[in-house]
This record gives sequence, structure tokens and C-alpha cells, in this order.
Amino acid sequence: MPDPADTATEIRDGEPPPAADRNGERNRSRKLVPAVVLTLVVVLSIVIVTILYSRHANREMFKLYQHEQCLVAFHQAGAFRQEVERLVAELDGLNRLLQADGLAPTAVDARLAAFLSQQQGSIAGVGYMDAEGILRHYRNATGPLPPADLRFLPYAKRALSTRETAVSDTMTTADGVTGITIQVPLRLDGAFQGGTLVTVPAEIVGRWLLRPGGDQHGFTLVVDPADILLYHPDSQFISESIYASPKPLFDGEPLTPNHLREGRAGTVEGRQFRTRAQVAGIGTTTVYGSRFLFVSCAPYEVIAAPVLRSSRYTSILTGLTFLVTALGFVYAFYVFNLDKSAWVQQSTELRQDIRRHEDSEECHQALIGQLEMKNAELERFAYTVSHDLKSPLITIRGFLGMLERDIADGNEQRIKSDMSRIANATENMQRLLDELLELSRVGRLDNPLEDFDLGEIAKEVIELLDGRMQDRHVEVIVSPDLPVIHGDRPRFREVMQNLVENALKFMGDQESPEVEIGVRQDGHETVVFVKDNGIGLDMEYADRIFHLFEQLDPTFEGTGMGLAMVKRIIEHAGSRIWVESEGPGTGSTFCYVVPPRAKDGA
Amino acid sequence: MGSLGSPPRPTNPRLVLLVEDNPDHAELVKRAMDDHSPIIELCHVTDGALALDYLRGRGRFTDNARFPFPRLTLLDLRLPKVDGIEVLQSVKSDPLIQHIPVVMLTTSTSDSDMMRAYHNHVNSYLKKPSDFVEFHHMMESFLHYWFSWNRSPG
Repeated sequence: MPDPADTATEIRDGEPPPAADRNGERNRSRKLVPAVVLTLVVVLSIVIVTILYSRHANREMFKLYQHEQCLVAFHQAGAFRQEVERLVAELDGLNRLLQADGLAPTAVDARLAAFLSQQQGSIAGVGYMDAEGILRHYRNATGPLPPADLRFLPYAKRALSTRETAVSDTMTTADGVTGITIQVPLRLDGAFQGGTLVTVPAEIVGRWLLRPGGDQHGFTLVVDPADILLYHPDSQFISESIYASPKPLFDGEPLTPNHLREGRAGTVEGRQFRTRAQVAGIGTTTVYGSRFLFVSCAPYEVIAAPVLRSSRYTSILTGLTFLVTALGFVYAFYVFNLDKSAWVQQSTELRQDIRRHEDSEECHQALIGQLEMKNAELERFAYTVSHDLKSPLITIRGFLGMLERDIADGNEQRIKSDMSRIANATENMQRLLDELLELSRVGRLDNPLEDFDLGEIAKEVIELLDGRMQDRHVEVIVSPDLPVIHGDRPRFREVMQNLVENALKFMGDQESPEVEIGVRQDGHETVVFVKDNGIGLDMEYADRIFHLFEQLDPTFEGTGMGLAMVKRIIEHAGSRIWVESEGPGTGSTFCYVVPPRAKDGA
Repeated sequence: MGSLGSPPRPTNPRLVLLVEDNPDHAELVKRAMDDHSPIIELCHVTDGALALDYLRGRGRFTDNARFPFPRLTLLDLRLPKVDGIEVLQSVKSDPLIQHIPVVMLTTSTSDSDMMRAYHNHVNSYLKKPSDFVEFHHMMESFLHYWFSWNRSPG
């Protein structure tokens, strides 16, 4: 077997790998590089996918949190609106009282004082502005204030022109209160008489904002229609523009009026947002023509804490995945390198198995071929036997019938001839049976295999046939190089005898008959031959002469069994025999291959 | 075959070409013929190659006058050199001699031999009976049929 198996065995035996194995190691490290690259690619893609997925999940989570903030903002916008409407209703009530009083200045002052005390600090002050825009009466916690001109104030202007209820932007009143003013028109006998107004400090507006969970997890800003902060938990920011410090509301985008108007949620950061990133949701409400924004903020860290936590877990998980995968690969390579011998051995064994299987398949095919050949031979044998044994029977019975008639006729000549034919036929039959028996013994009754010198056998055969040779003056040449054969000696002697007898028998009328027993080398095969210069044969019949009971010329004596016997012996020894001739009259050479020694051992 | 210009090979209407390697069997056939139709001539060859030589007028049989076409060929199945089936095949595929009836006379009881013979256009197939009386009966009917009733070309 080739190297791999040997190497495998050596490594398995625990010896250090031999120098010859270094090549293999280099090959292995060459294989390691693409494997490591593959590992990195796999791990990297796992990490990338995980990161992308966790980012996606985070974004989705933030959307949820932003929606939550939006809900809070809208809720607060609703609360704001309710409070404003409540105050408008209160002012309506006040207006009715003032109407009943006929706007008598002293009565107005008294009514305002009563209203202020009734509101108990939920407003900074209450006043009456006449149709000209002059604040006739105003009263705050400290008492009545002198009249003031409000005509330049936008809300007052609006109220005067539309003669409707108006809510001011963020403003600081003459008495120093920052907040909004709500004004409700007053009519007396159908004539517009200005209106009553209340001032609500920003601080009070802040109290209107109901916040679930309190201020702990965030805060709400109120932005007036002029984008000025009406309310901020840090009073310092009140009255500042919400855009004082443009900061991103959405990842990377600066907060713009559009964002607010569109009510889009996102994250926001900046001074006004406690310099922390905030998750912001926006709600709006329009009260009496004024649109207020409510920005509900929650600190990003607090809101995102669970997401960040889970994201951290994801990171840890990703790291672990990476680690485990990498370890797995490293282990695999470790095992691969250490147990490569086992792998090689296994694959070698597998290959050997396959080879064995193929071999056995070939063996099968060869066996089947042999069996088919044997079968055909057997069929031919049975056919031949039945034919050739029947033949003398027909002769015997035929001539017995003839004999009967010839006896009746008294034809003595014929009687003798008939009887001799019958006798010959019986003899012939006897010989056929004997030879059949002999033939059947080949392969059945074998002698033990031994080494023998073919030269000796040739000598014995020549001695045996000496008389016949002397008669014909046959010259026999025996090669001194005849091989030593390992086989069934008596059988090979039989072969030699048959071949020499055959040569003598078919010598014809050759004047200087010669028989040569020799050996030659055909490639890697050693071929023994018996050559004569007799009648030879037509190569057309070269196969048939080895068939049972086959005689090319029936005038020759014999049963046609000799060459069949020779063939059977040689083939039984695992070899083959054939005849060579240049044609009739040129002599013939019978050759057989010396059976290979390995076959005997097998 | 004769040379160009020589007269066509005649047919001897009383001649049977017997192809039989066993001299005893040939003798049995010969005697049966003598018994039943003494006028029938018998030409006996001992192997298939000789039979083909005779039919084709080759080898020893180039003399058309001495060796005319036989009325029929009585062919054994197992023959040396060229066996009976091969002879039959050669005869039946040779336009010059395929008209000569070929009758198999064999000891074989094998069906496959018979099938092969008929596949190769044998004209009749006879099994040699081992019983003497049967053999004579068969020969009698055979000769009667082929020489009294059967019409053949030539």
C-alpha cells in the first residue's frame, strides 16, 4: 500500500512524525489559511448581523418610547386646554355679573377682587379692558393696579379686532408676571365693551400639566405659538425661544419648527433639555386660535435603560457566539491536526474497502466467466459423451441385426465382418469409458503439488516411447533449459507423453521426423513447447483439436481424448495451451505456459 | 468447377452423397440402401471439408463427369474439421449448390441441434434409430420418399 497508510500507522503508534511528514504539515498549514479566513468571515458576518439586528430592535423600541412620550404630550395638551376653557367659563360668569352691574367702575373693582379671591392663587391677576384697549381695572394679589394701555399687545389687538376670546403668547405683565393672558369679550346691550382678562403665571401652567409618574422620569415643555417657551421646569428658560440652541431632535437632524409643527417625535439634546439626550414626544392643542406645543421629554438613559441592557446582553451574546465559534474552529483544527492520522487511516481503510469491493466484484465477474465457460464445457462434454457413446451402440445393434440376416443367408464373409465390427465397437466403447473416467479424474484426484524438473519428465517420456521412435527413426531434441515446475508431477508427465505421442502420431510420411521439446520466453511468461515437423494442421481447426472426441482425421487411431485431456490438465493448473502451425505439411507446435508459482500458493 | 466453356455440371439422379465419419455407420447405411434400392449409388466422404469440396467440385472432385451433383446429401451432424451444421450453412448459402436437398442423419437427440438445422434450411432431419429393424424401416421410407415421390431440380 502507498505512503498514507504507512504514515498513519507510524503516527498511531505514537512515534514522532518522520521527516517525510513535514511536507504534509506544510500542506496542512496551507489548508489552515483559507480555513482561518473562512472562520473570520463566518464570525464577522454573525457579528454584523447581530449588530444590525440589535440596532433595528433598538430603533423599534425607541419608536415605542417616542409614541409613549407623544401620548403624554397630548394628554397634557388636553389638560392645558381644559384649564384654559375652565378659566374662559369663569370669565364668562364674571362678564355676566359685570353686565348686570352695567359696568359701574366701583362694582367692577369689587367683582374683580371677589373673582381673584375666588380663584385662590390659580391666577396672577384679573382685569377689565375697555373697547379701546385700555386696561381700566386690574387687580392682583397686592391690590388694584393703575389703568394701562394694552392696545399694542398682540392678543389685545386680536381680541379688539375679532371681538372673540383670545389667549396671549408668553408675556410678562406690567406687574412682572410671566405667563399668558386669557381675555373674554364683554358685551353690554349688544355693544362690544372690551372684555375681562386673567393672567396665568407660567408656574401655574406648569401645574396644569399632569404627568404620570411625576417629574421623575421626565418633564414637559410648553411652547407658545411664537415658539417661545411658555413653561419650562427650570424657570430660567421660560420666555426663551425653543430654538435658542438648535439641537438634533432626530438622530443627527436639528430641531426645526417643522418638526414641532409636524408633531414628530425623536431624541433631543441641548441646554433646555438639561444637556442630556431626551426622548421627546410632541402634542399640540389650539385654544381660541392659539396653537400650543407640548414637548414631553424623558431622559434617553432612563428610557433606554432596558433596551440598552438587552443590547448589552446581545453584545455579550454576540461576543460569546464569536468566542464559541472561534473556539470550535480552533478545536476543530486542533483535532484535525492531531487526528489527521486517524482521518487518513480511515479514508485509507475506506479506499481499501472500496478497492477490495471492486476486486471482489472483478473476482465475481471472473468467476462468473469461468463458471459460464465450465458450464459450456460441461454441456459440450455431455453432448459429446452422449453422441459418442451412442455411436458404437448404433453400430453394435445395427450389425447384430445384420448378423442375424447374414447367418440366415449363410454369408460367412459378412458374418465375420459384422462380428469384427461389433467387437471393435465394444472395444471402442470400453476405451471411451476408460478415458472418460480418466478425464473426470483430472481435478478430482489430484496429486500433491511439488517442484519437479521438466527435463527429467521429458527423459522419462522419451524412454517410454523409445521403441516407437526407433521404428520411425524420429530424432528428439530436448532443450537443456527446461524449467522446474511447481505442480502435479504425474499430470504434467501425462501432458508431456500425450504431446509427444501426438507428434509421433501425426508425423505423416516425413522422411526425417523430428520432435523438439523446448522452452521460450514470451514476455513475462515461460512457454514450454513440443514441436514436430509432421503433417501440421489448418489453423482454422486449432481450437477444435482440443475438443473431446474430436479428430480432424478419423482415419487415425485413437478416440480424440488425448488433447482434450492435456487441455484439461493444463487449465486445471491455471494455465493455458494452444497449437501453432503454418498450415498442413509444415508441422505443428503445441505450447503451454508454465503455470505461475503464485497461483499455487493462492 | 469446370473451366469456362465446359458443359454445366450434371446431376446424377440416383446419387446420394453420404457424409459420415463413422465407417460402421456408413456401412449400415450402405447395406440398407443396397437392400431397398440397389440402383442407388452412394458416394461416401468422411468429413465436412470433403463434403463441401465434393459439392463445390473442388480439391479431389474437379472432374464433373466423375463427380456429378448428387440427388441429395445425407449429412451427419458431428463431423471432423467442419461439422454438419457448418456444412449445411455453407451449402444453403451457396447459390450454386443450395438447391441440393440436405437431409440430416444424426444420433443427436438434442432439440437445439434440430432447431439449428432447421434454422439453416435443412430439408429433412432424421434421427438414427438404434434399433436395427427401425433403422431399416426408416431407410426404406426415406429412400421411397426421396426417390419415388419427391421432385427435385436437375
